[in-house]
Amino acid sequence: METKEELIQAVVELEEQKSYSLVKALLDEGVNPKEIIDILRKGVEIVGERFNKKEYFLTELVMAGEIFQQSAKILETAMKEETETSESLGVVVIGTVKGDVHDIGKNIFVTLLQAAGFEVHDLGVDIAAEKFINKVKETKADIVAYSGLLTVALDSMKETTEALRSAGLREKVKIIIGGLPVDEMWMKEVGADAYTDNAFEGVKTVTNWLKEG
Amino acid sequence: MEPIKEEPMTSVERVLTAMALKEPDRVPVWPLIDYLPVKYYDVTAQEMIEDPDKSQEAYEWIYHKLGGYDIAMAGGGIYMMHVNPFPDIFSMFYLDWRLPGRFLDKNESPQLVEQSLEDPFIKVEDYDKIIDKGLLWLANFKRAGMKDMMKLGKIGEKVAKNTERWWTHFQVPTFSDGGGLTPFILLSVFRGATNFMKDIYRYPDKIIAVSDFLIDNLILMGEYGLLMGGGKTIIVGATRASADFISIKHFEELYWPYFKKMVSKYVKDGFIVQMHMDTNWTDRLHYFKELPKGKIYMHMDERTDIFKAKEILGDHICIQGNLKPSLFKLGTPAMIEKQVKEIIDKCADGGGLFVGAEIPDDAKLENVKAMIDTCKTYGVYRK
Repeated sequence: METKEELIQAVVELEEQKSYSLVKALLDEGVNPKEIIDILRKGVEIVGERFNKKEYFLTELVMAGEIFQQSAKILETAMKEETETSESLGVVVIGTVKGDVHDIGKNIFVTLLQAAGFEVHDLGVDIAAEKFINKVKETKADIVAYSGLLTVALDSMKETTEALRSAGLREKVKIIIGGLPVDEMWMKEVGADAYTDNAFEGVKTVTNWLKEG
Repeated sequence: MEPIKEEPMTSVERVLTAMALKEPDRVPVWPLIDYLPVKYYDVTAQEMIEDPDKSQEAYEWIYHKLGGYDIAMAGGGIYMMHVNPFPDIFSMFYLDWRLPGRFLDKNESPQLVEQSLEDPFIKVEDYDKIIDKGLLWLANFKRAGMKDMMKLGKIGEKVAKNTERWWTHFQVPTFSDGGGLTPFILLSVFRGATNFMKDIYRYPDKIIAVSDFLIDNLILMGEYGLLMGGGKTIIVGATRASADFISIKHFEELYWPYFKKMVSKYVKDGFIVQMHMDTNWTDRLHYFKELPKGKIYMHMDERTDIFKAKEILGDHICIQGNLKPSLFKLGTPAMIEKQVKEIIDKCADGGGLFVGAEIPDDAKLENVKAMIDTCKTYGVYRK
């Protein structure tokens, strides 16, 4: 098997050490780091498909994200030597909203967004509307993502959307909400554009938004 | 306050009959209420935890306000959980628990902040240390506030009294008197969920070795906590081992044998066992048939297919599920009535069913009442 194919396979099978060795081997072969990133993305993509088919679970998504991140670190030095900077797919501001501190799902979403090529600004947990607004202004974000598990998060998400509106930013961003309980009722209540309880699908949704432009 | 007596069976009889997989007078109904009284009664969330008299008063108030239901929580019970002086996932002395009046406004509900990726409560190398030294080396008695420790015994006495009051005066059973923790959940919380998921891939043998070492002691710790508050019922829960988190392979290796051992021991020792299974368990329901029959109750939320649960476990375990907590905030009484009727239609036959859900602290009372009233009217078993 060709090294590139082998790397995809290693990521898909979540063989961590083997993946890192193959990344290094490809670098030694003189393969462009950006191309290696694309190969890794392909692997993560297949892991996501298996997740959707319920052959893989959250643990596997976390591991795939970890392999991607660690590989990216290996590639970082090589990337820096490249003159052209790689363009991001878009800018996402994300946080668990005020009154809620749950972040397991949010962290996985962040990792997958980064793996897909987004510039991500993760504000953390228990984040007030004002902090979202400031970050959106500062980064000229395309997408705002609220995370939450408790019903108290519903009110905070709603307040954040209202604050975006008052600041004249609502029309400039798309809003996605995420968390195990979110559904259409939550989305309407909050005034968001999409909802998901599946981090991998969430990445697809926001990617499509930016493609639609 | 006086007991509510208007039905053929008491709540204690009704609940125990349904758990024994027989038909009681009607389907038992259990709104899992934690801090709901804070929104509607003159009590703070801080008092709900720290003042057993006041929290008992608030729980009795909401019980009457809603016209009575079949399972209650004893006032003061939550305090005992959070001041446990030993390394435990509920203890505020060890993990980043945000409690009302401590890091939170006195009216906000408690939450556990997940351990950080960089600096979790235990490190990878601590797996070996636990096998070598047990858990007590993690205990730092300086960390435990002396004031809280002094209060513990006094509050324990009151909790026992409140528990007794529900069982004998109101004839309503209290659930969650104590709790059992499997090694898997303990380690996941101590390491932080994301770190632990990586450990599952990197160090599965260590997790198994620590689990083998800890299980018997953790079983005993659960019983000890329970007896301190004079209780009969014990909760074991497991969100992080469901199909929303781990594969069947990992479930079989790292979770199920320990969970099964724990539940079986509690049943054998004569406790009433409640399994609190949030998130999605649909693909692993058949494992629960390996547990003792007719002795256990299993809570599920809307992510598990309760109709499948009835099909697989109906003749083995008393079930409850399918009602989404946020519906009690966003929904209407009519929506809830419709869903409760569907659950009763499809799952009530032969007993073995409670209707209930976790009630968010900001739920609408009329929605909770709709669930209760539907069970009292539509949920009657006709002989």
